[in-house]
Amino acid sequence: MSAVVFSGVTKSFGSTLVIPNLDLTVESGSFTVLVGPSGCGKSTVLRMIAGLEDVSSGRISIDGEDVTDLEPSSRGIAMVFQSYALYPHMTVAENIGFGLKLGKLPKTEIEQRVLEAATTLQLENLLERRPRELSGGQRQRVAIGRAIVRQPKVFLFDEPLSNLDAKLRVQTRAEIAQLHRRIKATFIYVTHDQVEAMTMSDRIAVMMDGEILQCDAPSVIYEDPDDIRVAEFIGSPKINILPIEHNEGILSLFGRSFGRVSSVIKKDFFQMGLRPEALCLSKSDGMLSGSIVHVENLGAEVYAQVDLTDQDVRVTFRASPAERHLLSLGALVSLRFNPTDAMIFDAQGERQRSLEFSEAKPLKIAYDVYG
Amino acid sequence: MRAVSQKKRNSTASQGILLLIILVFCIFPFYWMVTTSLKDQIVALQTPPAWVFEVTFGNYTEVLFKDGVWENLLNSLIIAVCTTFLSIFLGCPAAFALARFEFRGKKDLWFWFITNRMVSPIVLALPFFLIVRNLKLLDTHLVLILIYLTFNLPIVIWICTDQFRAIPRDLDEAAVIEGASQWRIFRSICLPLAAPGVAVSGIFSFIFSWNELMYALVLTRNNAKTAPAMAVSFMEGYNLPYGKIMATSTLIVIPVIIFALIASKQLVRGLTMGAVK
Repeated sequence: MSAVVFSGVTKSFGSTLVIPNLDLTVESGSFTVLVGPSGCGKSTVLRMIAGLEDVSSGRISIDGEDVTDLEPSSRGIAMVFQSYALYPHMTVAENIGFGLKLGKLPKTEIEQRVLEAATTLQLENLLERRPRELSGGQRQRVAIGRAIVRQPKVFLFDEPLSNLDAKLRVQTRAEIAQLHRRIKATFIYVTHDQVEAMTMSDRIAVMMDGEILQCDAPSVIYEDPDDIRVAEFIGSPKINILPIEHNEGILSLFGRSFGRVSSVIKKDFFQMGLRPEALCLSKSDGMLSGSIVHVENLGAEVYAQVDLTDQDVRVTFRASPAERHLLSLGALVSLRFNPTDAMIFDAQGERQRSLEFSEAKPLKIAYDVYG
Repeated sequence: MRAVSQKKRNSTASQGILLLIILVFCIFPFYWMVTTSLKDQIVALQTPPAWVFEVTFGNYTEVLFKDGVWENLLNSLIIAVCTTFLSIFLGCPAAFALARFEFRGKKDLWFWFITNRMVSPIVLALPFFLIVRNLKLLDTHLVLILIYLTFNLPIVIWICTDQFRAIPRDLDEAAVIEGASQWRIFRSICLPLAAPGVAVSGIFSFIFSWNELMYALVLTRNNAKTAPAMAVSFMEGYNLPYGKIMATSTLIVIPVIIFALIASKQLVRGLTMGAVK
């Protein structure tokens, strides 16, 4: 199958540079999600692959073939739009078969392929209906059917679930992931929803301001981000960022040391990222203490926000349902963390792995780590 | 509760009365036209008007067969149909181009299309007459078709451009990815979806061409004389044959009503529903 390769691609709209310099390789048969906040350029990247936007410079290749100057229809791609983009005056069968009709395929073959695609998506009973007679989920499946029937090398999805309600979104998410496993084509999926990115993909490319900050497996993106922006964007609730100080190997948080690392840096300020699940309630004096200001009970887990005492910092931590009785508003709590869970970033947000602890490295100062 | 329902009833009654007044205001001229066409000249001139009278179809037989108004109706039909067809045929692709393509001078062109509607038609009548006479096209169907076209095209383009703009671009892009050319997108996707607007502009175009009087009077004599021009020609000095004029007017109005009824089937709203979201 195919791979999509961006080599030094830039894109400007007038004088506005949207994509400064993009190098990206999407592996054959992978499910790659481009995720990032609104306006980061992810849809533009997708549209450049589709050929709906020209590149300002650089090359794009699909399956080893340079497609930069090819027409959209000659690129071997199919696209599912956020708005579905179904032809309202055509039936479901006509919608799915429109591309094949344009390709002047024999009528019997069109009918057969439309039926196959419809069967795959459980649309076989709706073939004579028009889009206005379908529910949102059914319309979405027709849009996917229109893509499948063309048997493209690469499927492009532009936020296809954003018009569905929450329940249907979860269901359709699973269906798209299953579809990918079944047809094993290359899927490139654009979303701003990190849950979609984490649950469906086998690779996530996190985009911000037109550049890809990191492209890796979902678990790596979550657990081992290269950049503080990646750490902050992925994860809900958001990662806690705390200011720390480094002085000749000693790391301290709000004046209390919590670890020693071997480092040549003399003295500097850094930022420490701690996921909410890395913080937990401590019976004795933990590293952090403060009062609870907000509690979100999700059933299986509880998230609580704590305003730290004497600090202008709020942190979120995850508690178990068993600890719920300890989480009344205004209650004073003490929190602890394992320094091996801490991610250290410099002032510019770049990860500083040399300053981090690992399970292999025994902690030099551990007495006040586990309260 | 009772007070509320009483209030609601009063409001419905007042709405009904208002509608009735509007209805009478709109329908009465038609009623007067049709009834007068069914009276002979003496009854038509009675004061106070005769509400009950002996119906005669003499005016119709006279104008249709003796005065040959059927030929004028045929001229009107030829001219109106040809103008409408050409307006749609030329205006829709132009509107599609204005709605979908970017090109230099697009805004100026858009404005320029409408400028000829800003000029009073009478201002152009004499120049048109001189040009047409020099081209030896006086009293031909072609000249009225071409002149009406210049008036109808801007309307068609303006209405249809708005219709095409309202069609989501995602549909075009989906079709482009599937291999459709711009012409195919226009023909198979945008035109069917813009049908209500096309129908409206078609109705406008037909009605304008069918009813137009001034250019028909200036540029035609016998061969291409339209029905409205013929109706006016019945007025000779002090002789105003009301019955004949009203019979001709009724004959002029009937095809317009039929055409509007046929075209209104295309005016079904909500055709684009389900395209997106």
